[in-house]
Amino acid sequence: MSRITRDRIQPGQNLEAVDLNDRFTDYSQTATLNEENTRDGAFDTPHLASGIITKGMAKTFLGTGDWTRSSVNTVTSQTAASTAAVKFPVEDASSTETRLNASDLTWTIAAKDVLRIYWDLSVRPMYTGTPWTGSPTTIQVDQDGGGTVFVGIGGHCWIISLEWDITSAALANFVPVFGGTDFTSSVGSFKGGSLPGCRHASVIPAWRMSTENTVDGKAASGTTISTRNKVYPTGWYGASGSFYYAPTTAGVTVYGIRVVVHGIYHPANGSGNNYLLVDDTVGGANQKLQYSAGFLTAIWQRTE
Amino acid sequence: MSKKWTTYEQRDKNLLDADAITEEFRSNQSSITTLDRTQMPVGAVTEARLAPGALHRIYTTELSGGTNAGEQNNYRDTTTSAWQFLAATYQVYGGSWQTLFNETLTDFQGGNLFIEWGGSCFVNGLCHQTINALYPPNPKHFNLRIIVGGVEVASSWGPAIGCQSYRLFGTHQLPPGNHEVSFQWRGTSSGPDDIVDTPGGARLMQFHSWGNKALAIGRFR
Repeated sequence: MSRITRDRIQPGQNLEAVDLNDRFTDYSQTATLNEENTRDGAFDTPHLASGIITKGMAKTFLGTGDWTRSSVNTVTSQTAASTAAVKFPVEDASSTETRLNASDLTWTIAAKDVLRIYWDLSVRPMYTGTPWTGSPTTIQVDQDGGGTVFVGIGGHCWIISLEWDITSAALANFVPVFGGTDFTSSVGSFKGGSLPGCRHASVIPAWRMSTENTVDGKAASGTTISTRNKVYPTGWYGASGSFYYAPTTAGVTVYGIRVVVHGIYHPANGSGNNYLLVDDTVGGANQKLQYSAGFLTAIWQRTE
Repeated sequence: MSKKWTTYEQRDKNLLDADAITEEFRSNQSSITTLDRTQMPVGAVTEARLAPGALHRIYTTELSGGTNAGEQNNYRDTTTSAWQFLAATYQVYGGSWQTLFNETLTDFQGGNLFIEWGGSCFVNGLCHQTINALYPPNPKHFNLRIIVGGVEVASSWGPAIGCQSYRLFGTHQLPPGNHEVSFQWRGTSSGPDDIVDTPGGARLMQFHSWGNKALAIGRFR
């Protein structure tokens, strides 16, 4: 009802009931008020309908849900027998995936919408022995007093990444979220993902590595690699990650979101690109990642 | 919205004249064109009626360092060995603040800004504490900060060892306008004993960053 444009009744004009009814209809219009009907400052907080900015929010527990860590799940690292990245969805104590399902989501992310995803998970990388000593990732450096020795550089890590299902509520087709690598790229004989595809992935140090008695740019002499590198367990670690999906054209319908664990990876490069590649030489049943509890949250909002 | 007669209430069998209708029309027109907050229904402003950018604006970006999306591109030493990143080495990087990415917050209407930045990094932690850097030691960190219009709104000492992920966030009050945001990093400088290369001349990666993304929310007025 920004304006009523019906002609006025002129003096001497015959009037009928319809003239009155038409005018009542004009004034009784609904849902057509616009800026011409309101004065400055007309709108205040109560006038704002709910859900005009935040369209949806969903949250779920991740893992066993046990913050005391008396109940944990364990993922083992990949070995040379692994053909590609083996991803383990985060599960509860009953081996049921903890994820956001279609009943939580089924959100169609339109242009000028944004999907924000946040997660956190309490994790504990573990190892036995000195698995890094046999890895091709060790580097040869000068040794104090002459000669050279090998040391580890400390880049081994676990990855926790985000996946979504944008095909159906059956949730049978989880794939990396928009733009994310699935860590199946080949670099030489190794598998992994390129760094430009890693916005959906967080990294956790497999161990904490340093050196002892380094001097003048040289490693200490007289020790083996396993003792030269000072290495300590990462311990329980608060891992977290985030992701944003803001399509500029009509986007996708999101039915499910989950978090997957995989590793152990190491930095690498090839043909001018950087990668995180599975280092299966350090993998095995003794290299594992425990996890207990966390949260996965998704927020769906309009961007303006 | 309902409306009642205010000037002449027409009753059954009344004799009508044109002015009775016209004056009522004028009366109603006056009030309709000047609705104030007491006349607006609760919840009248729906998503469809809310003008874009009236209350807020969310800025998201897949931050990019040139051709390597989300990846640090300031220092990309190509002489590192195969099982390392093409990354910042101490031969090419001395330890200064570097702008990883710039982003402009356009059409900011004035109000509160929330901004967050997440990503992953590698820090070479081999030489935190050496023979000649013992008291004090020289722990390496991937320092991070967010600068908005020249003002630091968030900072972090950053990860220290190996591959780790980070997220930092802050808030700031800003006037209307376009605001420049810089996402910056700084690695700790080398110590006197740091191992920086191999006997064959390959340089050791010291710092790298990837998977960077940022989000900002402007809540106006």
